[in-house]
Amino acid sequence: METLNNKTKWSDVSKANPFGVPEHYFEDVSLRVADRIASQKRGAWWSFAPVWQVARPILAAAVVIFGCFFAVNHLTGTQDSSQYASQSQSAEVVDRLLYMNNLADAMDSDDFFAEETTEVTDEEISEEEMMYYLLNGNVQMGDIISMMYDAE
Amino acid sequence: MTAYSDDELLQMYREGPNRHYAFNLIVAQYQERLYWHIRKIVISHDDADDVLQNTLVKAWNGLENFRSDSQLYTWLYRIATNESITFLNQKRRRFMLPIVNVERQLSDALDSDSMFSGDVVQKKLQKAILNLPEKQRIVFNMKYFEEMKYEDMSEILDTSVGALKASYHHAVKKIEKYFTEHDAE
Repeated sequence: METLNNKTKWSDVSKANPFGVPEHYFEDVSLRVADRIASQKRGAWWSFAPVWQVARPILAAAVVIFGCFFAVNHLTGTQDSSQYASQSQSAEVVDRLLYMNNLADAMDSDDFFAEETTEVTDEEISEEEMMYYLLNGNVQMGDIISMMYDAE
Repeated sequence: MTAYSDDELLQMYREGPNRHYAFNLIVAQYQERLYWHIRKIVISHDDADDVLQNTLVKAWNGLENFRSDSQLYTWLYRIATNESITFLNQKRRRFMLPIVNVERQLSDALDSDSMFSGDVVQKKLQKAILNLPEKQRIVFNMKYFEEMKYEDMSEILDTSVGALKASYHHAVKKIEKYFTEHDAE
């Protein structure tokens, strides 16, 4: 099919590979690929390097400022803080004593328990009021009548 | 070296204690075929070496998710073909070259290739192949030199067998024409 003329037929051209490679080229392809894969893994870490380079001086400055602030605060505020601690401790003791004292007073007086009870009056309740109360309290008429019989 | 089937290699990769060792066996088994496939597309050895390494690194990254829907070798060939085409496209973009000039550049690379050991007629055939459109060139090389089955080519190039046959037929016609026109060379 591929006869073109008397001089050259492309299909007659040798199929042998005309390209060459450097000597021992294929012997270390897998090594170089393994190296590329390893550097790819390292690259994942090194890709953070520029960010770290920017962050490092900022972080260092922050540490120095915080250190200075802490040192100054610590040196000037030692006495105040110990005073404040003792003051707050004594205030706490006083508060506790006052609370216990108030509790004892309250137990002695009727007012303390009066807060927890409902007021009881001696006024009499009429039958109509009672009937009204029972009917509004969703008590059945039959029950009311039987209660009346029981009362008699 | 012992030749392993694709299934054996994949089993070693998935179940074996050393995945790197299994991958090295895959590389050893396919590196030459993949290299020559790439080399015929990008022509220069240095470029082919770069593309081959990119191909194998991508294969390593993707092998964990490789499902045996396709054969290992067609999967590797597909990566190699895509990487080669991507490489040429990048070259076009980098140097702002139209398609024709890239083919010219490849033809010049062929002329200056110190590792080309073929005779005059072999070089002529290579130049005729370089005159083909990129996809036709790949189809021609796979069919004519690598004697690959159309079914496998179809899987690699994601093209129907009919379209591949037509493409090969057109490529042959163009090569014949090239030989007629450059008869005096």
